[in-house]
Amino acid sequence: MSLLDMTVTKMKQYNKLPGRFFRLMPVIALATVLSAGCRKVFDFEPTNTVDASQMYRNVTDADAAVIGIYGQVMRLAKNYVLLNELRGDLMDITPNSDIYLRQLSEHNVTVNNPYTDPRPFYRVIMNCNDVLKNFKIMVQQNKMKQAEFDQRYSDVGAIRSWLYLQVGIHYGTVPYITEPIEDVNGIQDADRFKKINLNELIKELVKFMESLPSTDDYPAGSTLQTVVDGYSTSRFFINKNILMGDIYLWDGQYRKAATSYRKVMDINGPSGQGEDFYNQYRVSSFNESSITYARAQDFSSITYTPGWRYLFERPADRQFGWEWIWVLPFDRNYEPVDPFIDLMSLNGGSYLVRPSQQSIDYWDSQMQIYTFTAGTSTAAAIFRDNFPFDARGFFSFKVFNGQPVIMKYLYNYLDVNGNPVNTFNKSGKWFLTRAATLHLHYAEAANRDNQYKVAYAIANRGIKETFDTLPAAARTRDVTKWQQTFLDPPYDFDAREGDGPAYRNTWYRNQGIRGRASVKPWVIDSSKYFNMTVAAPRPVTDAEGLRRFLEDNIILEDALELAYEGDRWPDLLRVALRRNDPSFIANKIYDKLIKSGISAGAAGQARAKLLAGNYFLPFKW
Amino acid sequence: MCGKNRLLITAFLLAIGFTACKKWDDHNQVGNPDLKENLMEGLSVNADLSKFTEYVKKAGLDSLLASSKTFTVWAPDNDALQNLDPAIVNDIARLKSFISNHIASQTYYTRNAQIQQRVAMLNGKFNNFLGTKFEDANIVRADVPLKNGVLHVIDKPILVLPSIWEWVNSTTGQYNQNAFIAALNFNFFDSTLATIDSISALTGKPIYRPGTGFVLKNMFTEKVQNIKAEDKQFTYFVITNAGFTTESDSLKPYYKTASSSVTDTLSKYYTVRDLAVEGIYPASAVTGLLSKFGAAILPDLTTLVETRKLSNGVVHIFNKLDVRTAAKFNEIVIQGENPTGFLSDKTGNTNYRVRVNPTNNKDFADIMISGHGVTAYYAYYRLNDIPSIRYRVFALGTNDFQTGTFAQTVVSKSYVPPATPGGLPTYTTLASLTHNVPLYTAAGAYNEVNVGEFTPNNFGMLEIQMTSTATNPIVLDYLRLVPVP
Repeated sequence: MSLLDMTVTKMKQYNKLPGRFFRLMPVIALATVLSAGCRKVFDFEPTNTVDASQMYRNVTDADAAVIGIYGQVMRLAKNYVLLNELRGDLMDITPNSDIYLRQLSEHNVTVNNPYTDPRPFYRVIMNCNDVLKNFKIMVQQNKMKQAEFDQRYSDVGAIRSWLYLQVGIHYGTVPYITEPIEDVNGIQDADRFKKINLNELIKELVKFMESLPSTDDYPAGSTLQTVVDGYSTSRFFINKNILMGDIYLWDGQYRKAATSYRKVMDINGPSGQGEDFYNQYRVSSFNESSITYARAQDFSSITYTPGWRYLFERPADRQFGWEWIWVLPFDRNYEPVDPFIDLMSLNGGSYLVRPSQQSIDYWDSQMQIYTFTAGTSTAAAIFRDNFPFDARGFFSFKVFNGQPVIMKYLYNYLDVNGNPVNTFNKSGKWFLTRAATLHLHYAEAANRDNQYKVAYAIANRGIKETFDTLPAAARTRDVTKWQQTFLDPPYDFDAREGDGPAYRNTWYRNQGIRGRASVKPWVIDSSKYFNMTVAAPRPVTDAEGLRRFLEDNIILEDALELAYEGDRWPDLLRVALRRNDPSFIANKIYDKLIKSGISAGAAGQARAKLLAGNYFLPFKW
Repeated sequence: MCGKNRLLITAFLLAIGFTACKKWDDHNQVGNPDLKENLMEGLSVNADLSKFTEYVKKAGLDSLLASSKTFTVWAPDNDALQNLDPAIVNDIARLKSFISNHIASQTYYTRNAQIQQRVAMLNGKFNNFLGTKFEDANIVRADVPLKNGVLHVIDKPILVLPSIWEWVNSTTGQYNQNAFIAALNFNFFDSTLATIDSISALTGKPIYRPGTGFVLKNMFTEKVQNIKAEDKQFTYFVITNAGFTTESDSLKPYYKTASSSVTDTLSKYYTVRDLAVEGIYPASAVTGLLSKFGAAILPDLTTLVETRKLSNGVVHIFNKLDVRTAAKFNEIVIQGENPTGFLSDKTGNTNYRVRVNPTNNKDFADIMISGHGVTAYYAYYRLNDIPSIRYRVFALGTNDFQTGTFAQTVVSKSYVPPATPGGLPTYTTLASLTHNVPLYTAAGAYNEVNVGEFTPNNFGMLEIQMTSTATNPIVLDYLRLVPVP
């Protein structure tokens, strides 16, 4: 039982009768039947379940309903990661995997595949529908204040939209039901519940999400912002602005998507000061989240703790909160058990999935920079082009006995030698959203909104360095006119850092996704996309070419930074649909299967299927 | 179904069962009368094996062959044994060894010997079994199955031969080369064989009984080829005394030491270490054979004195056999990232790097030390057993980390460890070769550069010090030392 489920159960326990009663019950019942057979004996209230009349009485009940929904969402963790990653090109099956995992990986799913059953998703959706309906009744009957209703209704509404986006992504054409129905199987009734395709679904979700009364997080002091069993609930809840941005991104409303994302990037307000202000969700160089080396050019001196790797291990401390936006914890003391250890670990697990060779090749194809000249800690490096591979790969997977193992989910379980610290202590986290996800999606939106330089800056070395004519020059100079975008919202960034006059402006610590990972920025062939015959700022001559070049690289960056975190298939599908280019997805899957070593035979068939636009799983009830 | 019917069926089935029982004996009785007899009985009933049977009994192996263990016997027939040396027959120990040389544990059928099998015999020797050949003998009657094994009849006796090691030790008077190898023995302490008297209360370590746990080992069998091993086969070359002296003397200049007797031993050792190869080669096929250390063996075939078959190989004795001096010396590659040590601890300035060579897009590892602040700082690489031969030095190190150009020096020194514990080693500088480190943008920056030559004065240890010019950086992918005779 998860700590989230606990609340519901604790509430239910009020009505529990002593166990002795149950033990005596058959005797009593038998005696009663034998003696009298009186009908009244069976007319007692149910004793170990909550009757509908006992729910939704006050805001505490509403909180329990919200927590209950999240408890059910947690049980989708395994399916979520398998559907979103194994169908993509970063995760692969192992020789231990069963036929159904193989089907997922090879895009050849039969209807009896248990991993592709949509019912677990719909079960939660139906519960959301019920909760939403009752919340409305509660606020009408003044059992809950309007502000409390706004927060809770929006949260459950967002979770339902997120679930619908998931089923839409994987099943394509699905029934969109927003009213509670008595029996889940009732949705098979094709007349009552017409199936709609992904496009129509996204339009519906935009409409619904825009109608939500609140997009903010639960405010501090709210009964849902608390500590449960040692876990702060501040990262339990879905971020509605990011979901809104994602839905806009799917819908092609890029300016609105960027605006939604930007609200989260400025979570501590547009102006302010202090560590939280400068660091939270800004991909800051002060975040303890970078790839760093004790000696700039010595790979063996890479920093394990703190740093990028530690993001996946560290407890929910202050720095954790600067990067992570939505994380659900699995604790050894509560159900559900962390499903990822069994899925991924070679020791203490079944090792059913592994990193694909394709994903390893993505990291190997990168070049690192080192930020300091040898022997000094201040002067910028001169040569930056021959330190091979991306160290994020080094931390995302590890090879034990020749077997590559996905490590991101296992840092709370395995020690440095790859052995379980305690075999039975299966604690872990379900990583859903973090600042890097936010920034990369923002960059994707900005690029499609023709803000190429902003997209480039966010994904590469940050605003300050990109919007500066002398990126490495000392901060003692006057930077008044540099290090800022001079654009309208949501692309207005001021990252000035100077000492004369003094600036430490809002974004000055932003170091960009690739800057943080210590890899080389992308090199754009200017002559290909810009008119080089005129003076700067040079006009773009091939906007579509530039946009696609940047988009390809942003999607690749998603693979490097967010591998195995459940983003890959949606990222690939979104771009393939946007470009109406199935080969974008088909060729990547083909390459993964060819390199897999155990799936090469299925590669041709998978590519042909995807090239024909068959992206979706069979919707089998 | 009513009870009556069920009874009827049961009765019927029983009837069938009893009638079938009559034929049961036919099914499991031994059809082949040979399988009723054990090997000893099988031998006895064969008139043409009477001599072998007699010798088996005389050697006291009859009860073994009648036992329930499984054996294979390759029995020579009476014709084959008629000329057997009576000395063998009259010496029970030799006879037992001779007879055991025809018996192996487990069964070996000719069908198992499609490819050559080296079969362990009861006397500890190994014989080759291939098809219908057992060593030199032909199998005239094959694969006779018996209760406890297999019997083959062969047309020649298989005499017990000494191993190469035994032969070497028995001919030390005749061949100086064998005398030298036999003298390379040393005592080795193997704690698992020693008797523990007590455990020291002071150190907690065992105290061994004096004189126990020592094993005699030999440098040649340990480091060159284990010619003691019976389960392998070797081809061993012997040069008769005059030729051996000529050959070993030709190496003396390269193994100069302070003591002429040490030099003599070294030059002989470096001669003999190329004179044994694994596998059996007839004298006609040995020219150009590569030794374990990569040198080609070039005998003068006209001077072949004798070829002698031994239990674990063959010996070819030549008056003249040459191994080219140049082939004796191999090039040495020193990887920059694996230094033996440093002048002083500058860990914070030492980068073990992984880089990409942009000309071939391959990764390589090197060492780069920068900002160390020590004049003439160095990383050193120590080499053992280096002959006194001219070495040409090629260096590869590329400056891909700073704009300022610099040079570094490859200082080679002979190194004599301290004579007494706590004493100082003796260094003699042989050469200081300047390596101008190319900038990564220069043409051929990732090609190795010939920086010069040096020659050690004596055989022994070397220390190569990769030395900085003033406090400049050091960068090294590898050094390649190529011998130039």
